[in-house]
Amino acid sequence: MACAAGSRGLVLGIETSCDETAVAVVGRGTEQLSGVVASQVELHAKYGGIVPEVASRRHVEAIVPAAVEALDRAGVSGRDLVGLAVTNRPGLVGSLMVGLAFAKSLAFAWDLPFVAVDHVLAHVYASFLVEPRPRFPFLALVVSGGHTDLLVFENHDEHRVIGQTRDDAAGEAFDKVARLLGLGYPGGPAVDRLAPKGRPDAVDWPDPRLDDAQGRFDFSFSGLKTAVLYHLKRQEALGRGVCVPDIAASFQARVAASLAGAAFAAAKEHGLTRIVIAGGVAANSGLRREMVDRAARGGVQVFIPPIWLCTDNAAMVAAAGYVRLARGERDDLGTSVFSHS
Amino acid sequence: MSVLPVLGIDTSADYCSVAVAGPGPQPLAEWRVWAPRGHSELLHQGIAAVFSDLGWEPATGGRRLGAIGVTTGPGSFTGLRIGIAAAKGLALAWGLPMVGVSPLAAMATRAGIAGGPVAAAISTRSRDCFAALFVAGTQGEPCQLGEVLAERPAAARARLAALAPGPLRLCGRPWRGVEAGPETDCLRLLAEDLDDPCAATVAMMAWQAMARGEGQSPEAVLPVYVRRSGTA
Repeated sequence: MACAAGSRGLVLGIETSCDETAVAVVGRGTEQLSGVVASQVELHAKYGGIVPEVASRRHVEAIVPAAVEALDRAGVSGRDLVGLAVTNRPGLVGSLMVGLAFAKSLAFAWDLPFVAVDHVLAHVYASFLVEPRPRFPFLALVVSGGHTDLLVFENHDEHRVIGQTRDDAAGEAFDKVARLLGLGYPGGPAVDRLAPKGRPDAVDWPDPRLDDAQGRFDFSFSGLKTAVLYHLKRQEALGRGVCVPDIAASFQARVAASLAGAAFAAAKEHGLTRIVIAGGVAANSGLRREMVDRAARGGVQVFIPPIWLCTDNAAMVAAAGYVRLARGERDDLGTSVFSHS
Repeated sequence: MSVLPVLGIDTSADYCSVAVAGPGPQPLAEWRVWAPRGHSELLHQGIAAVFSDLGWEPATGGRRLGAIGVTTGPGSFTGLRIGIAAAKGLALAWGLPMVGVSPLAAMATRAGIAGGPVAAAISTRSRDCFAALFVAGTQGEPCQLGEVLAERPAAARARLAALAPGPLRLCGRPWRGVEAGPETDCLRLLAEDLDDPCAATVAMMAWQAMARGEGQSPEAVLPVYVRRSGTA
């Protein structure tokens, strides 16, 4: 019986790095049996952004109900699992500590191994939860409210960052521009909803991609946000009205073209024919369309997870952790949390 | 009805401690380290150490326990959340109830409330302290008189001395270094080894709460912050 359960390779994943309390059960790193995401979006919306202390408070309230529901929906208990995977970096330290302390206790009490997982790398593993699954090697573009990273994945163990933002993350730029346009928080979905009503070529925004470093694919989104701010001020000074859908559409088009352009250029330079996109901004319809359009020109296959696997979830954490658990690896009870990767 | 021993956890202040206690006054096992900002790394090593001392296996040791007790505050916000999240995980995995304990009440109990009222205080990250006054209830349990105060130690001491029915004994780091005031004559500062909460008292108090039928479900036990966010 224990052997049969073990062969299912069931891992409980726990994710509390930012503003979602998430728990999921995943089989063999590829099959999601259950996934619960207790979102705090509405809680933080009134502050216009994530308040770390508020996030930590909510995690400690939500963690038990989320875990109970994830186990119930999957129809499993602790003795059916082969181990646990928990995000311990990067993220809000106080929030990460809640998930890690909870996971360590479950691992100790069930006498199971646990592994600590990098949230950015975990995003990439969302693509292993749906067909078709990417084969190594591939290029990964991880874009969210906290990250804008281009990584080359040679295999499960070897990956290196070949580009990232030097200031704001792409998702942060969406939030800030949405605030300038009075669209509320979170900005990504708000801009995305409005973009189809505007002209993508209405304003010619500066390209956030930096081209000053050889072999790197770095970005600066802070400048793009400032360009939007100055544009709005200039229009106001000239007594001209602003067409908000035009700003949303052209901003989104600029970001999507820049990210997709960098990803395809990086893939070409590194001789890669597969690109995985991941993270909350991978839910953006403009970026998804841009990636699909470029892939249609041939030569590169693009892997885009469904939207519920792009935003923060615990299934991706379980999938990422399974690889190490399956090899018999485990982290010790003294494992720490880190704000950075 | 016999109540099994209780595992107690305290991460509310600068010590990190774990103990198993009940029914007697002495803990069956105890682990305690000075760990300001180290609770996240050290707590589970302490839980493992206590199990090892008792000769218990993790997977089966939970069956020898009746509940998980944990300090819920007031105290360090982050510390409390680490201890409570850990306690919730253990309780959920082993199918045990939880008991939340005030670290101030645990300090007062350890100092001995049978000997008269005790004012217990814990430092905050600012110059304020969390403080409250305790007397013995009819069963010898700690009864808090008035509210938990969150203010400068000198102001808290004057307020609690005025509230106390008779001479007041003080335990807790914030009281040390407070200058003499008009209330000083009726005060006695207790020994330094009573300055901090400890899990052995938490486990013992949680065991007593279980004997009174006061166990809670793991989702019901939450931090007690006293003040609004971001100040401790």
